[in-house]
Amino acid sequence: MRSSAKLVWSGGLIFLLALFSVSQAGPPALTGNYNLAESKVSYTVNHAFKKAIGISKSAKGKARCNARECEVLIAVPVNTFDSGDSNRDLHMLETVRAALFPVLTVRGNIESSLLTKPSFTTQFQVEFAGKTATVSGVVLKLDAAGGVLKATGSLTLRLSQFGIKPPSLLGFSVDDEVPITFESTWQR
Amino acid sequence: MIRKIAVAFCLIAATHLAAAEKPLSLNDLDMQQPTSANAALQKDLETRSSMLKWHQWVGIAAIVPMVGTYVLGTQAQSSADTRNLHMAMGISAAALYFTSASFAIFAPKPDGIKDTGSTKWHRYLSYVHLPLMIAVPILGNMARQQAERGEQTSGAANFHGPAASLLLGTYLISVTVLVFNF
Repeated sequence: MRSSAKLVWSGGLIFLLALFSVSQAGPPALTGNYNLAESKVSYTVNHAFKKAIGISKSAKGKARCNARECEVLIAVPVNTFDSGDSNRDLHMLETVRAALFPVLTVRGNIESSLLTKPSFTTQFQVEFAGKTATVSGVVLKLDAAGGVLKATGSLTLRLSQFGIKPPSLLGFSVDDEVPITFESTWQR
Repeated sequence: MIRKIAVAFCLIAATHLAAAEKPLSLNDLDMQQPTSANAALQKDLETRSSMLKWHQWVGIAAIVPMVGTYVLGTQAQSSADTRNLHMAMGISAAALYFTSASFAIFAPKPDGIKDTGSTKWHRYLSYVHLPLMIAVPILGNMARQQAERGEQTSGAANFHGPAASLLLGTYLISVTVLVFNF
Protein backbone atom coordinates (compact mmCIF):
# COMPACT_ATOMS: atom_id res chain seq x y z
CA MET A 1 0.00 0.00 0.00
CA ARG A 2 2.76 2.29 1.01
CA SER A 3 4.64 1.76 -2.24
CA SER A 4 1.48 2.18 -4.34
CA ALA A 5 0.67 5.40 -2.49
CA LYS A 6 4.15 6.64 -3.27
CA LEU A 7 3.59 5.78 -6.92
CA VAL A 8 0.32 7.69 -6.97
CA TRP A 9 1.90 10.77 -5.37
CA SER A 10 4.95 10.82 -7.61
CA GLY A 11 2.78 10.21 -10.66
CA GLY A 12 0.52 13.04 -9.64
CA LEU A 13 3.43 15.42 -9.04
CA ILE A 14 5.03 14.55 -12.37
CA PHE A 15 1.68 15.11 -14.08
CA LEU A 16 1.30 18.52 -12.39
CA LEU A 17 4.86 19.44 -13.31
CA ALA A 18 4.27 18.49 -16.94
CA LEU A 19 0.96 20.34 -17.03
CA PHE A 20 2.55 23.47 -15.60
CA SER A 21 5.41 23.38 -18.11
CA VAL A 22 3.04 22.91 -21.02
CA SER A 23 0.90 25.80 -19.82
CA GLN A 24 3.92 28.12 -19.96
CA ALA A 25 4.73 27.12 -23.50
CA GLY A 26 2.87 28.91 -26.28
CA PRO A 27 2.68 29.24 -30.00
CA PRO A 28 6.42 29.06 -30.82
CA ALA A 29 6.38 32.19 -33.05
CA LEU A 30 5.11 34.64 -30.38
CA THR A 31 6.66 33.66 -27.09
CA GLY A 32 9.68 35.26 -25.54
CA ASN A 33 10.84 38.83 -25.29
CA TYR A 34 10.82 41.27 -28.19
CA ASN A 35 12.49 44.66 -28.59
CA LEU A 36 11.22 47.37 -30.87
CA ALA A 37 13.85 47.67 -33.62
CA GLU A 38 12.23 50.13 -36.03
CA SER A 39 9.14 52.25 -35.87
CA LYS A 40 7.20 55.02 -37.52
CA VAL A 41 4.40 56.68 -35.60
CA SER A 42 2.25 59.32 -37.31
CA TYR A 43 -0.46 61.61 -36.00
CA THR A 44 -2.90 63.59 -38.15
CA VAL A 45 -4.47 66.82 -37.00
CA ASN A 46 -7.39 68.10 -39.05
CA HIS A 47 -8.28 71.77 -39.30
CA ALA A 48 -10.79 73.63 -41.47
CA PHE A 49 -7.99 75.10 -43.61
CA LYS A 50 -5.31 72.45 -43.50
CA LYS A 51 -4.16 69.03 -42.35
CA ALA A 52 -0.95 68.44 -40.42
CA ILE A 53 0.85 65.11 -40.14
CA GLY A 54 3.59 64.65 -37.57
CA ILE A 55 5.96 61.69 -37.71
CA SER A 56 8.31 60.18 -35.16
CA LYS A 57 10.77 57.35 -35.75
CA SER A 58 12.15 57.38 -32.23
CA ALA A 59 9.81 55.07 -30.33
CA LYS A 60 11.22 52.45 -27.96
CA GLY A 61 9.39 49.35 -26.93
CA LYS A 62 9.42 45.92 -25.34
CA ALA A 63 7.03 43.00 -25.54
CA ARG A 64 7.01 40.05 -23.17
CA CYS A 65 5.03 37.11 -24.49
CA ASN A 66 4.03 33.85 -22.86
CA ALA A 67 1.35 31.27 -23.47
CA ARG A 68 -1.43 33.45 -22.08
CA GLU A 69 -0.64 36.94 -23.33
CA CYS A 70 1.80 39.49 -24.63
CA GLU A 71 2.59 42.43 -22.38
CA VAL A 72 3.55 45.42 -24.50
CA LEU A 73 5.12 48.75 -23.56
CA ILE A 74 5.92 51.44 -26.14
CA ALA A 75 7.25 54.91 -25.37
CA VAL A 76 7.69 57.84 -27.75
CA PRO A 77 9.43 61.11 -26.79
CA VAL A 78 6.88 63.77 -27.73
CA ASN A 79 9.53 66.20 -29.01
CA THR A 80 10.59 63.75 -31.73
CA PHE A 81 7.42 64.33 -33.75
CA ASP A 82 8.12 66.41 -36.84
CA SER A 83 5.20 67.92 -38.77
CA GLY A 84 7.42 69.86 -41.16
CA ASP A 85 6.80 73.21 -39.49
CA SER A 86 8.92 74.30 -36.52
CA ASN A 87 6.38 76.72 -35.05
CA ARG A 88 3.61 74.15 -35.26
CA ASP A 89 5.82 71.59 -33.50
CA LEU A 90 6.68 74.06 -30.73
CA HIS A 91 3.01 74.92 -30.29
CA MET A 92 2.22 71.20 -30.12
CA LEU A 93 4.80 70.76 -27.36
CA GLU A 94 3.21 73.59 -25.40
CA THR A 95 -0.34 72.28 -25.94
CA VAL A 96 0.45 68.75 -24.72
CA ARG A 97 2.68 70.02 -21.86
CA ALA A 98 5.65 68.12 -23.25
CA ALA A 99 8.13 70.00 -21.04
CA LEU A 100 6.38 68.46 -18.01
CA PHE A 101 5.44 65.10 -19.57
CA PRO A 102 7.97 64.45 -22.34
CA VAL A 103 7.06 60.82 -23.05
CA LEU A 104 3.92 59.29 -24.52
CA THR A 105 3.52 55.69 -23.36
CA VAL A 106 1.30 52.92 -24.63
CA ARG A 107 0.71 49.78 -22.56
CA GLY A 108 -1.34 46.73 -23.38
CA ASN A 109 -1.88 43.08 -22.62
CA ILE A 110 -2.87 41.16 -25.72
CA GLU A 111 -4.34 37.69 -25.33
CA SER A 112 -2.39 34.98 -27.12
CA SER A 113 -5.55 33.78 -28.83
CA LEU A 114 -5.71 37.12 -30.66
CA LEU A 115 -2.07 36.94 -31.75
CA THR A 116 -2.76 33.96 -34.01
CA LYS A 117 -5.08 36.12 -36.12
CA PRO A 118 -3.66 38.29 -38.92
CA SER A 119 -5.72 41.28 -37.79
CA PHE A 120 -7.64 42.08 -34.61
CA THR A 121 -8.92 44.88 -32.43
CA THR A 122 -7.76 45.49 -28.89
CA GLN A 123 -7.36 48.30 -26.39
CA PHE A 124 -4.36 50.04 -24.86
CA GLN A 125 -3.68 52.26 -21.87
CA VAL A 126 -2.21 55.50 -23.15
CA GLU A 127 -0.37 57.93 -20.90
CA PHE A 128 -0.15 61.37 -22.51
CA ALA A 129 0.12 64.96 -21.30
CA GLY A 130 0.06 63.78 -17.69
CA LYS A 131 -3.16 61.79 -17.99
CA THR A 132 -3.90 58.10 -18.54
CA ALA A 133 -6.82 56.87 -20.60
CA THR A 134 -7.97 53.62 -22.14
CA VAL A 135 -8.10 53.79 -25.89
CA SER A 136 -10.34 51.19 -27.48
CA GLY A 137 -10.64 50.18 -31.09
CA VAL A 138 -6.92 49.74 -31.68
CA VAL A 139 -6.56 47.83 -34.94
CA LEU A 140 -3.45 45.64 -35.17
CA LYS A 141 -2.06 43.59 -38.02
CA LEU A 142 0.77 41.17 -37.34
CA ASP A 143 3.23 39.43 -39.58
CA ALA A 144 5.72 37.10 -37.86
CA ALA A 145 8.53 35.33 -39.69
CA GLY A 146 12.05 34.26 -38.83
CA GLY A 147 12.10 35.75 -35.33
CA VAL A 148 11.02 39.16 -36.65
CA LEU A 149 7.56 40.50 -35.93
CA LYS A 150 6.06 43.33 -37.96
CA ALA A 151 3.11 45.10 -36.45
CA THR A 152 1.09 47.82 -38.13
CA GLY A 153 -2.06 49.45 -36.96
CA SER A 154 -4.08 52.47 -36.07
CA LEU A 155 -5.92 54.05 -33.18
CA THR A 156 -7.70 57.31 -32.51
CA LEU A 157 -6.89 59.54 -29.57
CA ARG A 158 -9.31 62.20 -28.41
CA LEU A 159 -7.58 65.31 -27.12
CA SER A 160 -10.35 65.82 -24.57
CA GLN A 161 -9.54 62.40 -23.05
CA PHE A 162 -6.19 63.81 -21.98
CA GLY A 163 -7.34 67.25 -20.89
CA ILE A 164 -5.83 68.89 -23.96
CA LYS A 165 -7.56 71.98 -25.31
CA PRO A 166 -7.59 71.68 -29.12
CA PRO A 167 -5.41 74.41 -30.61
CA SER A 168 -6.98 76.84 -33.04
CA LEU A 169 -6.05 78.89 -36.07
CA LEU A 170 -8.03 82.00 -37.00
CA GLY A 171 -10.71 81.03 -34.50
CA PHE A 172 -11.20 77.51 -35.89
CA SER A 173 -10.16 74.67 -33.58
CA VAL A 174 -8.63 71.44 -34.79
CA ASP A 175 -10.67 68.24 -34.52
CA ASP A 176 -10.77 66.60 -31.09
CA GLU A 177 -10.05 63.22 -32.71
CA VAL A 178 -6.45 62.61 -33.70
CA PRO A 179 -5.88 59.48 -35.80
CA ILE A 180 -2.59 57.71 -35.10
CA THR A 181 -1.00 55.14 -37.38
CA PHE A 182 2.09 53.09 -36.70
CA GLU A 183 4.45 50.65 -38.37
CA SER A 184 6.86 48.68 -36.26
CA THR A 185 9.42 45.92 -36.47
CA TRP A 186 10.13 43.82 -33.37
CA GLN A 187 13.06 41.47 -32.88
CA ARG A 188 13.80 38.85 -30.22
CA MET B 1 12.45 11.19 -5.13
CA ILE B 2 9.01 12.66 -4.45
CA ARG B 3 10.57 15.40 -2.38
CA LYS B 4 12.98 16.29 -5.21
CA ILE B 5 10.18 16.49 -7.74
CA ALA B 6 8.13 18.65 -5.38
CA VAL B 7 11.06 21.00 -4.78
CA ALA B 8 11.72 21.26 -8.54
CA PHE B 9 8.05 22.03 -9.16
CA CYS B 10 8.01 24.73 -6.51
CA LEU B 11 11.19 26.32 -7.86
CA ILE B 12 9.86 26.46 -11.44
CA ALA B 13 6.52 27.85 -10.28
CA ALA B 14 8.20 30.47 -8.11
CA THR B 15 10.45 31.59 -10.98
CA HIS B 16 7.55 32.02 -13.36
CA LEU B 17 5.41 33.81 -10.80
CA ALA B 18 8.24 36.18 -9.89
CA ALA B 19 8.87 36.99 -13.54
CA ALA B 20 5.19 37.66 -14.21
CA GLU B 21 4.67 39.99 -11.25
CA LYS B 22 6.74 43.01 -12.29
CA PRO B 23 5.13 44.89 -15.22
CA LEU B 24 7.27 46.51 -17.91
CA SER B 25 8.31 50.07 -17.09
CA LEU B 26 10.14 52.95 -18.74
CA ASN B 27 13.30 51.79 -16.96
CA ASP B 28 13.19 48.67 -19.13
CA LEU B 29 13.39 50.98 -22.15
CA ASP B 30 16.17 53.12 -20.64
CA MET B 31 13.71 56.00 -20.49
CA GLN B 32 12.25 57.97 -17.61
CA GLN B 33 9.79 60.76 -17.10
CA PRO B 34 11.75 63.69 -15.67
CA THR B 35 11.97 63.69 -11.88
CA SER B 36 11.97 67.48 -11.80
CA ALA B 37 9.61 68.88 -14.37
CA ASN B 38 10.96 71.47 -16.74
CA ALA B 39 8.48 74.09 -15.61
CA ALA B 40 10.57 76.96 -16.93
CA LEU B 41 10.49 75.56 -20.47
CA GLN B 42 6.74 74.98 -20.27
CA LYS B 43 6.28 78.58 -19.10
CA ASP B 44 8.36 79.84 -22.03
CA LEU B 45 6.36 77.75 -24.48
CA GLU B 46 3.10 79.11 -23.06
CA THR B 47 4.39 82.68 -23.26
CA ARG B 48 5.52 82.05 -26.82
CA SER B 49 2.12 80.68 -27.82
CA SER B 50 0.33 83.64 -26.26
CA MET B 51 2.61 86.19 -27.96
CA LEU B 52 2.34 84.48 -31.33
CA LYS B 53 -1.46 84.52 -31.00
CA TRP B 54 -1.28 88.30 -30.53
CA HIS B 55 1.13 88.46 -33.49
CA GLN B 56 -1.41 86.57 -35.57
CA TRP B 57 -4.47 88.67 -34.74
CA VAL B 58 -2.75 92.07 -34.78
CA GLY B 59 -1.05 91.14 -38.03
CA ILE B 60 -4.38 90.23 -39.58
CA ALA B 61 -5.92 93.44 -38.26
CA ALA B 62 -3.14 95.38 -40.02
CA ILE B 63 -4.37 94.07 -43.38
CA VAL B 64 -7.47 96.30 -43.21
CA PRO B 65 -5.73 99.71 -43.02
CA MET B 66 -2.97 98.42 -45.28
CA VAL B 67 -5.41 97.61 -48.07
CA GLY B 68 -7.31 100.83 -47.41
CA THR B 69 -4.07 102.84 -47.60
CA TYR B 70 -3.17 101.15 -50.88
CA VAL B 71 -6.57 101.85 -52.45
CA LEU B 72 -6.53 105.49 -51.37
CA GLY B 73 -2.98 105.83 -52.63
CA THR B 74 -4.14 105.51 -56.23
CA GLN B 75 -6.01 108.82 -55.83
CA ALA B 76 -3.83 110.55 -53.23
CA GLN B 77 -2.02 112.76 -55.74
CA SER B 78 -5.17 114.53 -56.94
CA SER B 79 -6.85 115.43 -53.65
CA ALA B 80 -5.45 116.79 -50.39
CA ASP B 81 -8.26 115.21 -48.35
CA THR B 82 -7.59 111.83 -49.93
CA ARG B 83 -3.91 112.33 -49.33
CA ASN B 84 -4.48 113.05 -45.63
CA LEU B 85 -6.74 110.03 -45.21
CA HIS B 86 -4.19 107.92 -47.09
CA MET B 87 -1.50 109.11 -44.67
CA ALA B 88 -3.67 108.49 -41.58
CA MET B 89 -4.51 104.96 -42.70
CA GLY B 90 -0.86 104.37 -43.51
CA ILE B 91 0.16 105.41 -40.01
CA SER B 92 -2.48 103.04 -38.56
CA ALA B 93 -1.23 100.22 -40.74
CA ALA B 94 2.35 100.85 -39.67
CA ALA B 95 1.42 100.99 -35.99
CA LEU B 96 -0.40 97.66 -36.15
CA TYR B 97 2.36 96.15 -38.30
CA PHE B 98 5.17 97.01 -35.93
CA THR B 99 3.12 95.98 -32.90
CA SER B 100 2.53 92.61 -34.53
CA ALA B 101 6.19 92.31 -35.48
CA SER B 102 7.26 93.02 -31.91
CA PHE B 103 5.22 90.10 -30.59
CA ALA B 104 6.95 87.77 -33.03
CA ILE B 105 10.45 89.15 -32.50
CA PHE B 106 10.32 89.04 -28.70
CA ALA B 107 8.44 85.75 -28.28
CA PRO B 108 10.75 83.33 -26.40
CA LYS B 109 12.16 80.54 -28.51
CA PRO B 110 13.97 77.44 -27.19
CA ASP B 111 17.62 77.24 -28.21
CA GLY B 112 18.58 75.25 -31.26
CA ILE B 113 15.23 75.43 -33.05
CA LYS B 114 15.55 76.18 -36.76
CA ASP B 115 12.62 77.49 -38.76
CA THR B 116 11.17 74.88 -41.11
CA GLY B 117 8.18 74.61 -43.41
CA SER B 118 5.70 77.49 -43.72
CA THR B 119 7.33 79.24 -40.78
CA LYS B 120 10.57 79.46 -42.74
CA TRP B 121 8.85 81.12 -45.69
CA HIS B 122 6.88 83.41 -43.39
CA ARG B 123 10.18 84.61 -41.92
CA TYR B 124 11.93 84.97 -45.33
CA LEU B 125 9.04 87.14 -46.59
CA SER B 126 9.39 89.34 -43.51
CA TYR B 127 12.93 90.16 -44.67
CA VAL B 128 11.22 91.82 -47.68
CA HIS B 129 8.16 93.49 -46.17
CA LEU B 130 9.82 94.73 -42.95
CA PRO B 131 12.36 97.03 -44.67
CA LEU B 132 9.63 98.05 -47.13
CA MET B 133 7.40 99.02 -44.21
CA ILE B 134 10.12 101.49 -43.23
CA ALA B 135 10.92 102.70 -46.77
CA VAL B 136 7.37 103.13 -48.07
CA PRO B 137 6.31 105.81 -45.51
CA ILE B 138 9.59 107.68 -46.09
CA LEU B 139 9.06 107.65 -49.85
CA GLY B 140 5.41 108.53 -49.29
CA ASN B 141 6.37 111.56 -47.25
CA MET B 142 8.63 112.72 -50.05
CA ALA B 143 5.78 112.32 -52.54
CA ARG B 144 3.40 114.17 -50.22
CA GLN B 145 5.75 117.16 -49.92
CA GLN B 146 6.12 117.32 -53.70
CA ALA B 147 2.35 117.17 -54.16
CA GLU B 148 1.80 119.95 -51.62
CA ARG B 149 4.26 122.11 -53.51
CA GLY B 150 2.24 121.44 -56.64
CA GLU B 151 5.05 119.42 -58.16
CA GLN B 152 4.85 116.18 -60.08
CA THR B 153 6.18 113.20 -58.20
CA SER B 154 9.83 112.69 -59.11
CA GLY B 155 13.06 111.12 -58.04
CA ALA B 156 12.96 108.52 -55.29
CA ALA B 157 9.34 109.42 -54.53
CA ASN B 158 8.44 107.62 -57.76
CA PHE B 159 9.22 104.36 -56.02
CA HIS B 160 6.59 104.92 -53.35
CA GLY B 161 3.82 103.26 -55.39
CA PRO B 162 5.77 100.20 -56.63
CA ALA B 163 7.31 99.70 -53.19
CA ALA B 164 3.85 99.84 -51.61
CA SER B 165 2.60 97.25 -54.11
CA LEU B 166 5.49 94.93 -53.25
CA LEU B 167 4.92 95.50 -49.53
CA LEU B 168 1.22 94.63 -49.70
CA GLY B 169 1.85 91.62 -51.97
CA THR B 170 4.57 90.05 -49.83
CA TYR B 171 2.62 90.78 -46.66
CA LEU B 172 -0.52 89.02 -47.92
CA ILE B 173 1.53 86.05 -49.15
CA SER B 174 3.25 85.94 -45.77
CA VAL B 175 -0.12 85.58 -44.04
CA THR B 176 -1.46 83.08 -46.57
CA VAL B 177 1.45 80.61 -46.29
CA LEU B 178 0.65 80.09 -42.62
CA VAL B 179 -3.08 79.61 -43.13
CA PHE B 180 -3.12 77.10 -45.95
CA ASN B 181 -1.04 74.06 -46.92
CA PHE B 182 1.00 74.50 -50.07
